Amino acid sequence: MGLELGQIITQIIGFLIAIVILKKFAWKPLLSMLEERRNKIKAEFDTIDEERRKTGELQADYQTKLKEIDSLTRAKIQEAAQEGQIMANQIKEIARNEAKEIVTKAREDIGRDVEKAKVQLRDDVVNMTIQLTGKLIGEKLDSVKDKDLVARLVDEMRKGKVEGFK
Amino acid sequence: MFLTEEIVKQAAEKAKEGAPELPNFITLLYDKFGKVAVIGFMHHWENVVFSWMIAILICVVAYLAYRKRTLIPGGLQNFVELVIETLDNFVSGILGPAGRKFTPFLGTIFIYIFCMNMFGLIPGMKSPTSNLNTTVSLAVCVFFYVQYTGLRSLGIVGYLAHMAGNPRDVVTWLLVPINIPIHVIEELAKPLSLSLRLFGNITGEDVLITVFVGLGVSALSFLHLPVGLPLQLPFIFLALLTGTIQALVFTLLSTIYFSLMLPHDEY
Repeated sequence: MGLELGQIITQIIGFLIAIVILKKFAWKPLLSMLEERRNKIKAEFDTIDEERRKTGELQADYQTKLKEIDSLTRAKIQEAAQEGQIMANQIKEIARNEAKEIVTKAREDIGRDVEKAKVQLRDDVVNMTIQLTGKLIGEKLDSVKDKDLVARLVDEMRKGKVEGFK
Repeated sequence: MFLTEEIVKQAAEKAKEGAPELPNFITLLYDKFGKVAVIGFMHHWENVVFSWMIAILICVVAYLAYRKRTLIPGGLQNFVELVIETLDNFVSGILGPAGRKFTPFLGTIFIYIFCMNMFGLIPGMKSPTSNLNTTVSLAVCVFFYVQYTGLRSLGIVGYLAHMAGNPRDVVTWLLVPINIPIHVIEELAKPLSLSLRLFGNITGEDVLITVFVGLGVSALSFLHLPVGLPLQLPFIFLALLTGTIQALVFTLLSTIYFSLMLPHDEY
């Protein structure tokens, strides 16, 4: 239990040498390495945060752009639909007009044909009547007079002046 | 058979001298080759031999961790870094970030004392901290480093003012003649309490283990077996706990002594 100065000094020397060696080989290099690693991890986390922030911004940007594209597409479709509708209406109108024209023209043609047919019929009737009358009375009428007479008769018949002939 | 008888014999002899302790390889060598000068020298300086062995062991471990250090640690470097970082956090937690410069000293004290305390639990080894010379030497180192830190950080005038209790008014100036001796005694009591506490605790646990080893051997002596009952086993676990606590207490108090000596606004 007695204190010995020699032993105390030797112990102190041993301890101080241990401190010096440990300071050189453990404390300083390993603490600086811990600090370096801490800084590196912090920098990497900062980078990750920055990347995440950028990605978020990019994503938001893409979302906005997608929405813009979406609304643009919708507007284009609507516009195209409207244009289509207009074109369809125009086509319909054109078709309707053409049909009207065709119908009108057909009616005019028919009217013209009817008139022509009527004239032809009247002429035929007149000729037939003359021939018939000539045969019946055995006398040849004056062709000009006859024709005039028959034509007048036919007109009266058409107008309903002659009874029972309509 | 030889070992157990030797243990009891050694313990009995030590008990006659003072605190009983288990024989270590140096005492066994001394018993066999006591006349060899080197063995005699080692026996006389056995605490120093064990302390130096532990110091070399710690340095070798630190060097092995240092030699192949990488930014991504593994194995030994991982373990050493864990210890170092824990101690660094412990010291800077008390002294603040500016107190990190004391981590190598205080951290080494903890590791050194912890290893010395544990060394006695290895059969054939001895805890150098169960000897007062070892604990006094450590306490003296702390004492001088604390005083040096005080002188350096406060300056001579500031250091003397600190010892005088930082007098500011008439009353505190009147108390200076009382404060100075009180502070001097307080400063001197610090290494004394540090060394005696560590020495007392480690010696106590070593004696307890020695006594129970002797008791375990004696309990089965009627059977003439080469082994005894391991009655010391619970006290080995207790020693693991108290050895760690004592190393921590020594380091904690040393850190507090630094904290008390440093300017309080800075730390």
